[in-house]
Amino acid sequence: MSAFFVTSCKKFLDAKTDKKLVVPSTIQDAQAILDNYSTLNTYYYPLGAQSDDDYFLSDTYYNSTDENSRNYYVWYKDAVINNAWNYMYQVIVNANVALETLAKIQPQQSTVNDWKQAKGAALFFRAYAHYQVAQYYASPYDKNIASEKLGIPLRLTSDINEPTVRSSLEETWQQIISDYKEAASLLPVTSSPVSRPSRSAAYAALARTYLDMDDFVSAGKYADSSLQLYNKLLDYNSLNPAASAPFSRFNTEVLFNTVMLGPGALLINNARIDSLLYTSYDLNDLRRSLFFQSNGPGTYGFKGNYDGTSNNAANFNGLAVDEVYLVRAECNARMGNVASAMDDLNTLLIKRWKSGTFVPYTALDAEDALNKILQERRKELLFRGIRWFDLRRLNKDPRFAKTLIRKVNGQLFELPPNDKRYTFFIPESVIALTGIQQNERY
Amino acid sequence: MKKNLINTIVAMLISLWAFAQTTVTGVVRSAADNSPLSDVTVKIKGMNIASGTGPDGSFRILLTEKNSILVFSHVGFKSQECKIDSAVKESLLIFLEKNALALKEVIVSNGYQDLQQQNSVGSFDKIDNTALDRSTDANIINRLENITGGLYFSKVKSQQEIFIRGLSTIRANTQPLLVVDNFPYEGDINNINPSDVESITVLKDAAAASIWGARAGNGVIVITTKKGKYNQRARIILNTSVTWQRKPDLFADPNFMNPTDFINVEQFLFDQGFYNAALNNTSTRPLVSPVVEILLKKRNGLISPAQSDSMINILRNIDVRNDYEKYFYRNQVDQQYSLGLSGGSANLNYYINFGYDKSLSALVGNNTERASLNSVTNFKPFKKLEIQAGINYSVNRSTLNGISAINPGSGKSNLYPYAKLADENGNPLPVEKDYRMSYLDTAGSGLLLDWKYRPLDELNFADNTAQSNDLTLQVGLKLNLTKKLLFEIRGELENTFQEEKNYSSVQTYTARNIINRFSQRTASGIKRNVPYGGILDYATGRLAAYGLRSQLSYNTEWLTGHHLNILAGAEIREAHTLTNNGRTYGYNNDLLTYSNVDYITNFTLYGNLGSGAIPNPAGYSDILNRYVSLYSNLTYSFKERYFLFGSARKDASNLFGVSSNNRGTPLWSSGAAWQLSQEPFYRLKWMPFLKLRFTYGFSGNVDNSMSALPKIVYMAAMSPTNLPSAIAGTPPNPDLKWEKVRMINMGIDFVLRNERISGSIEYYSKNATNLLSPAPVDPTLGVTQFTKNVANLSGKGVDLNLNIHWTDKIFKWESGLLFSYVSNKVTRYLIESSNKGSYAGLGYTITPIEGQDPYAIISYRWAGLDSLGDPKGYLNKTISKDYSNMVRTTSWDDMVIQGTSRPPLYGSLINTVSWKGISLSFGFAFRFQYYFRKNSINYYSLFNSWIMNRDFENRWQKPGDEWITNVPAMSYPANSNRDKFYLYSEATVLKGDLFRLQDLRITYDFPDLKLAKRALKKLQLYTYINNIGILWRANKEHLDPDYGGNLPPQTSFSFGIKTEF
Repeated sequence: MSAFFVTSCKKFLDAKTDKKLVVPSTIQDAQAILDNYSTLNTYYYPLGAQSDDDYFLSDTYYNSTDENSRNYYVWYKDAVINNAWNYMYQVIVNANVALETLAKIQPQQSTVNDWKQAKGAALFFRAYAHYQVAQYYASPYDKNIASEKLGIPLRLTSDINEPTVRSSLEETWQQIISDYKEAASLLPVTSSPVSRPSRSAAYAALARTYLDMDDFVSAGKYADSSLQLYNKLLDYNSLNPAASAPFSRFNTEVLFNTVMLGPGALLINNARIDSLLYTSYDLNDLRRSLFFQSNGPGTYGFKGNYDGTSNNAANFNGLAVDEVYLVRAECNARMGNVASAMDDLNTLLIKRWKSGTFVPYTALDAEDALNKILQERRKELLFRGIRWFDLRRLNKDPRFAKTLIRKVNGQLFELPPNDKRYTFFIPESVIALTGIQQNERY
Repeated sequence: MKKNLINTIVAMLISLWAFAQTTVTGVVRSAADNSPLSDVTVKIKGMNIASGTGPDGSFRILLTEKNSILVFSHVGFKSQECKIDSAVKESLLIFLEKNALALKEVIVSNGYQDLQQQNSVGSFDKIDNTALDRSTDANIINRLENITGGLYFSKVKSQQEIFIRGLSTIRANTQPLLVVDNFPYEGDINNINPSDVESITVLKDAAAASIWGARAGNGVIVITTKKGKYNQRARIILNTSVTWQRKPDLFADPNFMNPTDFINVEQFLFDQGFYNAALNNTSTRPLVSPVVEILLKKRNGLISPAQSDSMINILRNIDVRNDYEKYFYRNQVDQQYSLGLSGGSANLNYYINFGYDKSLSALVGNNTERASLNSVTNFKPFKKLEIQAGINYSVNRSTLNGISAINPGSGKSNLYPYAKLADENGNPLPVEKDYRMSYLDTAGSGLLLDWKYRPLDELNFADNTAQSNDLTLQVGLKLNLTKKLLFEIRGELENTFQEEKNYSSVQTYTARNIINRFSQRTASGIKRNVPYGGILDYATGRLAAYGLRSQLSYNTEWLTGHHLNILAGAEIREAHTLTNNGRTYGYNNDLLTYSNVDYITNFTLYGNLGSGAIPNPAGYSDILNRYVSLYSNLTYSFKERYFLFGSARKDASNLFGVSSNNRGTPLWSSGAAWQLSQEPFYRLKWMPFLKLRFTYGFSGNVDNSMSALPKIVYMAAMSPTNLPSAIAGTPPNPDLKWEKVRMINMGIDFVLRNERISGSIEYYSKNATNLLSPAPVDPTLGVTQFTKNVANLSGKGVDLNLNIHWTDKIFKWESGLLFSYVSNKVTRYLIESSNKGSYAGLGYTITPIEGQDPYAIISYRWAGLDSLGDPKGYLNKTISKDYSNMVRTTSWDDMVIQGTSRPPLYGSLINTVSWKGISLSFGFAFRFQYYFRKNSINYYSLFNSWIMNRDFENRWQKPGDEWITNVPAMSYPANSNRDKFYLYSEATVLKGDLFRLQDLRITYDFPDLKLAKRALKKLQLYTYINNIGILWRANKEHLDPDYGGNLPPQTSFSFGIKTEF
């Protein structure tokens, strides 16, 4: 009798408090975490995009905007947005919870594909977020000193008792590489929708990562692997240049879709395009009309967002086939394979020019090819946050080093190549709660 | 003299008896006025046989032995013994004399049992309906304010909060448990009609509240509803009242600016080019004000400077507050009616009450109606069995169409102050909303729906209604198993259904705006992705709760004066809340037709205003809380002098993700009391009653949302992926513990001679441990906050309650004084934020810092304005204007803790004078030793969001002003850190102390109705004036610190009639 009471009492109290709460235990639970588009795909802070030379601001706008936008614009040392750090680690923890859930599941014959896809996606997201953190809060990768330099805290478990420590720069990048590689071995070739990672996206991510590490052999190899699996390009002739958002979300060129938050400074009416950059597009280059709209006399705003959201409210910063072509082209050029390099460049550009007007580019030599490819890279990958990463890596090479200049209210601000400000401060709250080392002061 | 007389009568009667029969009958009357006394205990001395008198004072008792002594006792009267040594032939006539100490028998309820307050050790505060009916508030809980000691009402937040003896937890739920007739009340308190309430008992210490265990940490408020009485004639009670309250005075609202100042700011900003980004914006078309449009026309040469000036000067003379008051507000009128019937025979009693309330709120378009039916029947089929059945049904219906403020959207929080809502003829005028008006004039070339926003039309076309039905059924059964053993079983079912419907017809801006946004130009015209038609938003909620309780109580006494009562019981309880909400597009309210939309596609909004999917606010929730509890308590007393008390309770709940052995927590309490005045050696004649009380014990707080296992929260599929998704919730917390509150209470109850002064003084100390609080954690863990058992809180205080009868003749004057001192301190808090500046705030929410009051007002240290009108503060102890670092990495050295926003000293004083049937009562309320932060001007918000404050007028304008004002100069570009520093600095903190005349009540009772043989037994007329005004306040800015950012309520006037037939 009393045993009955105890069991029925236990049963009574075993009922769930909130139906929406679940202790994750199935592949579906893990997949649901990884399908959380809002959390995993849309909270990328455009710290780089706000600091790079894709845009400039008018003085009146500068004066009327918020402090953070002003600070990032002029590379003020105190520029800090805590959430840029917080949101990336939120992605990482979600990925870790998914991984820990999957680790407890022994997949059956019928579920092994789902299990592999979920695990691959979790590893991919973890690497993708770690990469973002590394590109903002750790110094640019340099293989000669990477073992001595500080990297970022790598979170490989959701256990909150695991202390936060900064890994070395080498460990940081190796972890990103190994997560991507394992992901590539598990993921399906392509995915639908492209909010989910795929093997072609993982290869593209590896190509991007190796490029940032100046490992052009590997970068080229993974770019090639990605293009082998998927190489569809949008034909810009099929797009409507009058549209305010000419590109649609999840378009055929996108391998993996993520977007950045849109601060006011980057909105189409406020972020002005450098006029030299604008005029560098040929009149027959469709990007001139598909990427830009006039913002009043002599100024242009960017509308070539691959996410399909208008006004730059959320700019695409994911992975797309055009970038992979450009990586393979660059790597080939750097390795002296001029012909293949130019082939890739022309394969891309013919889809960008008005039909029948494109005259394929040629290069005198590898150096010329590389210059042309980098110039086209600059013109193709605007407002994707990639420019900042390119500045970080290209500045290491004196041939491509560039000093950024801003003129605000008559005052000049400069950001010389390899400046310490290319590495942002870690939020003070993180330093205070963990005791990890802050990035160098200047 | 009188006593002798009674004794003589009794002796005469006794001499007539002969011991022939065994049954004695008689009547007990009051010696004072000859009225029959009911409920007098008649006992045979030395035996456990007792009887009682009925309403006519008659009794009947069976004698088993001759030479018995009957003892007649009644609270408030002196006991009397009567020796019976022969057979009784006639009925006895006993006169009882009033006790010099006419202590009223106060029965308090803790929700499980009724207790005589005189015999209890705990801290109970009972408020009867006479006191509750002083106020005419439609919310019964609000009526407790100023008449209950130790209770503090905080109105600084939008939601009123009640604190019993300060704070016991630091999480969101700091509110006391509300119990209505034995069971926790899960519904909306507004469903309870105050006319049904017999009394309220507030359980303040551990011994009183511990019977509620893990839910009693914040104190317990027990509402007892009215019931019928056995042997009572049928009574009909009809009450009605009307309350009138003036509409709010918006011109007293500090959060406005005069239109000229606002226009001057706009002119200044225009010249700085501040609006250029908005004016050049051809995509999202942010709105700009009419003044900016005029200035633009001037700049573009479309109008001359003179024309521009005259157009602007017209606007300078418009104040939107006039229109708000004229169209949005009205004087509030609340009506209350109740009709009740009660009565009872020897074995059945009944109470039935019908209530109807109607409130026309101060906001035009907001009306509330409440109808309630409450009925309780008690039935004794056998002597040993009593059955109770109760039903309470209430319907609340409201329309919520009022507009209290216009939110223009596009980043603006308020409307510019020179807006006009209607033309001279009262025709609605459009005002700026969401987009620039000049764009809306031309957008769509006639293909779109009208896109203008006219506030008065919105008010007229709005159709927002809410309804809630609450049904509570209670069944109880009391069975006397033996004379000493009572078995009780009690069950309750509560079912609440709530429904909200917001219908935006196609005439409303809400519908037109969404339809237009999702319209697309096509070659042939326009394609509407949101169909033409209204939009219906609906939300329903259902609460189903039940409770079942069975308990045994054993009650015994020995001849020698020992008395023992043991109670033990078990209870299960479940509350299940289901909600769902959603939206229907293209809805036609007349035909009930609707259309389908595409929720997935990312549409480019009309005219490139942006892009997005059609909003789908559908949602479901399903929350289940279950509790199992075992409880018992024991009361022992000896000769009504010494009292001992002990109680224990174990609660378990369906705490999520916790192994079952961690689901429960045992809590206990104990106490003792000593009624000193009953001691034979007690000689203090001036203080005929004196009792000391001491209790010690634990109560708790439960939070079923915590988890010891990793958990994820599922979310609905959404655009663009349309896949079900989930998010990892807060990290698992295997160390989760229940919150525990230890409380010590010491009290003295006393009554001075002739009851001239009576009252109690209590000292308590609380120690709350394992408090759950969201603590900042390393964001690298994926969360920025984590709720853990991180805090301890201590509290101590004194509650003084004094009743003084100055004169008790034809002219009566009595005073009731409540005075409370409370102090809370955070004694442990594991994690402190690195930036102490983050603690600077309004003091409305809890800022847990070790060693500080949880409601401390913390400020940036203030060093005045400099000669440029810039505020100066401190950075690393030196005077600084580095605002960014002053608010980002502030150390304690550069901060000041000025005090608490919760008054440590507060109370009330109610004076009542009466003469014949007229009674006049006025209540004062006072609060001391506290601070508040006033709102002031924030230039960044003023420029960007049109958030205004009248302190703008007092800003620094020229050198020298820094000596007379603390309001910084206007600066451009706006520096939000500079604003933040000033707003949260010492300069905006004011002392809160005040003394207010809270209310006044005049009552007239038509005399002598009782004696006359008329149908009308009672007729009372009264008027009640509430929120009369502040008599004295410490701040010089004429601010009322007790209402936060809201306007203090206007004085209200009530008139009422109470009748009884």
